[in-house]
Amino acid sequence: MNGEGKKSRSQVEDILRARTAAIVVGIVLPLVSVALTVVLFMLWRHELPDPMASHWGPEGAPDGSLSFGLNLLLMTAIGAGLPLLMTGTVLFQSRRGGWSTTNRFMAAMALWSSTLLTALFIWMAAAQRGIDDWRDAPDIGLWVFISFGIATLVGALAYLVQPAVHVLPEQVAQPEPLDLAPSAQAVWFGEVTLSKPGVITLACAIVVVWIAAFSIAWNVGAEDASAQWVAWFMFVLAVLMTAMILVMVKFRVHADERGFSARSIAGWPKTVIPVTEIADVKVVDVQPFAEFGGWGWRTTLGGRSGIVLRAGKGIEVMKTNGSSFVVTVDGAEQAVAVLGRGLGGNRG
Amino acid sequence: MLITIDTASDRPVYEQIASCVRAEIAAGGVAPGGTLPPARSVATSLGVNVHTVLHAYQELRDEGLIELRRGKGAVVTGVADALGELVRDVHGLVARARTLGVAPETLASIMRDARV
Repeated sequence: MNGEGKKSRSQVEDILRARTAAIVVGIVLPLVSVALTVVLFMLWRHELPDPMASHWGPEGAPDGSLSFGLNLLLMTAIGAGLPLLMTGTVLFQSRRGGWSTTNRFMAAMALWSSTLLTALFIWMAAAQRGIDDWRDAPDIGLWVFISFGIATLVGALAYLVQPAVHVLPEQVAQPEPLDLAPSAQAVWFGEVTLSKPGVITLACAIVVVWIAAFSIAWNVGAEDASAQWVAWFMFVLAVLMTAMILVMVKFRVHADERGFSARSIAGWPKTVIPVTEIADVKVVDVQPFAEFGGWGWRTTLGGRSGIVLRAGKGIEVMKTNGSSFVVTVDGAEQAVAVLGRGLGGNRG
Repeated sequence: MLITIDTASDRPVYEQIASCVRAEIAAGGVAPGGTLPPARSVATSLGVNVHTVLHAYQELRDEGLIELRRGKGAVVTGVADALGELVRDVHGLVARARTLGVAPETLASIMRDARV
């Protein structure tokens, strides 16, 4: 079950290739696209109105402007900052030597977001070349869709072009089997609360969604029926998202020799895995952003899902159907020992 | 929190449960203000009567380690912190007793009857 020791030389080389590819895709290319956009902006500087249109209303007419300098600053800050943050966090969290499909995906997402941003800014500027007043800027709605298309294409390529390396990180020490009489039984109770980085990230997401809902509602005229539907939809979405995030705050975890369960204090969501569905169980050391792309109830492309509310030690339940479920929680070693007793000789 | 019981043992089940919870509290596994698992969950999990678990919780309440509050359940009191401090002393005492050839039961009996 637990025979992973030092990595082989080819594994080390694979990880190096994968990390290099992620740096190119997730940091170098985004910075190149930002640099390209800066060059274009400077070339067009004298053809652009100042201030430039920077926000368009639902009718297609521009309703917000920013100075040329601020636009450029905003584009550079987000276009460079976001990929650096995303890919940088992934690389930092994987420094213990693992690599997975999630890491590939996050690097590709970094390029997707910066491609989207720079494409939007380029179209935005190109559309305003040769006009004197930002209020005359044409509708760029179509270009928004095209930018999404380009970004998605680039993002998909960015994922595919990275090597498909899958290496488990350094294994964590597994607990000793419980030293109990055969007639004894053991049960384990634990609970885990969302950590500060998780709370901050999810709180920001809630704030962004509510701001979006309110700003759309603000801009909608009383006569415009279809836009009203959009506004209502945004509110429903905001309420749903807030509810989803609130149930992720605290989970109660339980393990005994009959199986494993984890449930939100809100009652839902919950996972129950009876021992008959468990192939093996182990302690793992989880890096939420690198391994799962964030905090909360997560799922990865590699068949690994779970409740990841903080970084650090947790329980990984490997199911007989090949997927696995992870919960980060204090006392994971005891829980794994209890489940191990329930599995008996049927492990691995 | 790990709770283990052995129905084949001479010790009453409620006492074994209390013992496990006491050890967990002393080790800092549950902080003051934290709650113990609901008695019903523990009972179902262990396959014992819920009153057995309640008996264990009541014993701990009588010792001042927990409070039983309606709605919230069994809440660990500030005595837990003090217990944590004493545990180290206790281990030292037991180790010293062993080297001197004194059994832990003798020590426990003297402790129980001690008048300060």
